[in-house]
Amino acid sequence: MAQHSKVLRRKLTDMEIFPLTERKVATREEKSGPEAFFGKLHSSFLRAVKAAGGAIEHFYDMGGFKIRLCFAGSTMLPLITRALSHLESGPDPCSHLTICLWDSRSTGIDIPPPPWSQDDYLKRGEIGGYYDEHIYTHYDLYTGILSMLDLRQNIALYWLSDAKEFFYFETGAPLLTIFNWWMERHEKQMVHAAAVGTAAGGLLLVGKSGSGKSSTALACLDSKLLYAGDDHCFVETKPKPYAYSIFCSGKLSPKDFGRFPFLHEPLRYAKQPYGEKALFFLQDFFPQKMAKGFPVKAIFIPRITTRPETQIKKTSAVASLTALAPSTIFQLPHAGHEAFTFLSAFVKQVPAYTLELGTDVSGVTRAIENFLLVHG
Amino acid sequence: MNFIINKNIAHEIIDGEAIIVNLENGNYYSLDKTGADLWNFVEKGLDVPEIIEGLAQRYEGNRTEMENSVRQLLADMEKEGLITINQETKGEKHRGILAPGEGELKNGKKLLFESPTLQKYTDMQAMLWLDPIHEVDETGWPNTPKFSEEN
Repeated sequence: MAQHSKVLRRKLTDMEIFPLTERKVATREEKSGPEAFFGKLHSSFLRAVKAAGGAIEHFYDMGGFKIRLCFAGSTMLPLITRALSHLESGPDPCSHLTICLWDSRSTGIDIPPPPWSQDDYLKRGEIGGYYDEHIYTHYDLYTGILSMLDLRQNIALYWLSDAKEFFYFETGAPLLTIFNWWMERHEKQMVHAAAVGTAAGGLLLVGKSGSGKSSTALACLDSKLLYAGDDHCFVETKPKPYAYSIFCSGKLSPKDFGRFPFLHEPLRYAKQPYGEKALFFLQDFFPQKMAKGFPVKAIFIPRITTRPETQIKKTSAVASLTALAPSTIFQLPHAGHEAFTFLSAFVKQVPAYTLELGTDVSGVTRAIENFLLVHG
Repeated sequence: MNFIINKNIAHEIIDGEAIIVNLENGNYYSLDKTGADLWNFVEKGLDVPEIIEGLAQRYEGNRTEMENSVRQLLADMEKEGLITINQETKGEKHRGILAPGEGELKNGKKLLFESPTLQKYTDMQAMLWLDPIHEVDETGWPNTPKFSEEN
């Protein structure tokens, strides 16, 4: 498998990692609010960097922005970077967003106790009172990951107690919450969708888990089509509908292994807890098939059928919005009216179709290729 | 009596179909044809007689059946937390928007009235922590399920 390169290990100064340009005396309210907690948490990160012997930086081009990941030590590197490896770029001193990542177990640095109460945990892991216009906070009660973003400084913090307890699915879509918060402020919306196509144009595959998004996207690896994600991507509406890749991960149910013989090698190296989907990283095996993005020509809603042939049928924009909006919004902390309005505008710009999936996998990709030849 | 759409409700009408999402509990809904027209009238602040009149100008059908359907659908929407009776109604009249707009009728003819139903979807509830109460460890952070590197 390909190894990740472009690792930059050096000691960073506090100001490099946390370039506060507007340091000021905090008011009483700020001392106990989200800004104060962000500051305390970041101080823990700086101590973790020192304890780990330095910071390790990785840089990525995502959606037209330069993202810098700054790790305290190497423990979390393989957990985070593999899904982003297709977007990796060279060091850049002018990153748009810096994300600081660490765990307490490997660095020996604890973080302060949460200043909020149990009642402040909301339904999607948001923390009541700990997000405002500038600072967002999320604690995932399932994975134990704490995420914070300060939009004024374009710095995010990503912490968990013990990297050895990192949930394997998180390695396929790490930093999802932070990416979403930040991109939505830059006129891009994360969507729960797969994306496949060509450099000239592609399509989103939308719908609930189990509807055939992932398997359809993976089928395209054995065709002329490019792959930009099987579960998440960013979209924008201006100047034209466009999709950006985020992760190069893929997932496949054990029951489908036999239908995808070309995935034999990735599946050999896949992580797969008993009974769960196998998770693998396609940049390691299909680097030429990875796309950073393309114009969106259509939204496809897959439907699994028992017929051998695949059919594509026009459907309504509301069907498209129904398949796209709820499953996107309810997995993203803080997503609400703005995301819904964005997605409504998006589906009005892009025609929608039902993709009635045939059992013949090659027929699925032929149907998509033919569609894009006509509509691309 | 008219209604207001609740704050936690996101909604959109496109090409005569409506999608309504309750951002609070994860439920979402669809309405087609008459139901989408009714939702449009609710959004514009029409009262119940105006909603019935607006539908009667677009659809051919038994007036009593139409009234019963409207009242039932409004009751369903209220029960689902989508709308609330507007206590501050100012008695505005909306006669100007009751008449069908251009393209709303097919060849100038009314469509046959079909009793609207609120199609409800609950599959997103599983994505929300409906009861995010939890135990905490000695540091104050919530206990989470344990995963190992091999998982």
